Amino acid sequence: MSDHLTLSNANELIRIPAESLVYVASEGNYSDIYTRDREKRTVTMQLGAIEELIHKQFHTDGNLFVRIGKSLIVNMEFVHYINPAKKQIVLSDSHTFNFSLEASKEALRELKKYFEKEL
Amino acid sequence: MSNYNDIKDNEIRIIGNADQLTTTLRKPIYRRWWFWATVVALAVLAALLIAMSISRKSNDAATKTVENIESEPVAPTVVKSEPAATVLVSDTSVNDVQMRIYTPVNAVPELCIGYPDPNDNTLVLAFQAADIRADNHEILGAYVLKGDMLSRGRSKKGFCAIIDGKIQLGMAESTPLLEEATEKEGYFFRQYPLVLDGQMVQNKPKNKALRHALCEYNGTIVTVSSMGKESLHDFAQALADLGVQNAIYLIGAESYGFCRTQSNETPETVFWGEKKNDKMFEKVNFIVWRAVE
Repeated sequence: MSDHLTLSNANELIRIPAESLVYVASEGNYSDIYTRDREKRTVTMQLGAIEELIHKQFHTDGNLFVRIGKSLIVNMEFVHYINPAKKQIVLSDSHTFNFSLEASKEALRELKKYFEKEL
Repeated sequence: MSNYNDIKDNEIRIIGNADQLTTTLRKPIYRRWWFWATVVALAVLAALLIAMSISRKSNDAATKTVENIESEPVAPTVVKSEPAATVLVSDTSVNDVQMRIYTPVNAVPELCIGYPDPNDNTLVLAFQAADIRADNHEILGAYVLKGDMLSRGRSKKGFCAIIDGKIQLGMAESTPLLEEATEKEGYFFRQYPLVLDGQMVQNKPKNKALRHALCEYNGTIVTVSSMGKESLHDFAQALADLGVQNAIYLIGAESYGFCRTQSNETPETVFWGEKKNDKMFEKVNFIVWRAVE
């Protein structure tokens, strides 16, 4: 088990603590990684490749991240607000950052149900 | 997870689940609208196929019984009380289809090419018979004129054979009556079958027009015209419901024709349609009834 997501290529290596990774957004062949310090880091990896790394490096923590459609990977710890009708999901730690993102109604409806099951 | 890009925009997937390395929160298939749409579509399709199968079987059965039907020869109607050849006219209505029935009496049928002369007092009834091909202006389908085979083919299954002055109507791909007509200086032409053995026959044309038919009705040969524009289906059904035993189509719409009636002992000739003189109608042809000599 690792508590960091480690991304490495020929030139650089990035380590991001699981609790600092807020979300990853797809930009085609690139991915933008957003962290709690409101920094954005762009990496030359597709979202699927990052999902695979998250799966392999964090999997024993369980249920920490969720892939939402083709464009987002979200840290579920920071899901603050979901409104499927508005296709809106807000990620926040209620203190330092607040990201408002858009996703499909159906996916957000499923995510809302997922959280409701945990009640 | 073999392919991490395998996800749709309306799906989510939990990553890093300890029990299930990857969990997909996809809707169960039975909760997807397209699943039920597919089920309904398949059910409707299956029902249609079953219905078509049943219908085809019954049609096949019906077709087998009517495919090679031909009527008994029907002799010209002789009415001794009538002084000469004439046409008895009566009107009727079936299924809201207004029809006029022409019964030639004391007259024998024959075919002719070219417009018949209404001043020929021996002619009492004339209807256009076989269609003309638009491409070569020849007569469509087999056609025999006084024993001469002028045209061949069977694009329409219905036929009328006139042998020894007697009409036989029927439906068949091939019939010995064609050869018999050539051997006995008879007449033969083809048209759409409308009624066979009392049952309506379906045909392709769907438009509405004035309709004419050559019918065997109550043991006599009559022609029937619709008074208004009708689909071939409605006209054929009306004939069948009227009680016509066999009928084939005669050219409708604006086709030319006339009948000579004897009202109050005064001959009266009634015309319908119009003459067309362009080249396409060089082979315009008629079934006419001529006074018995």
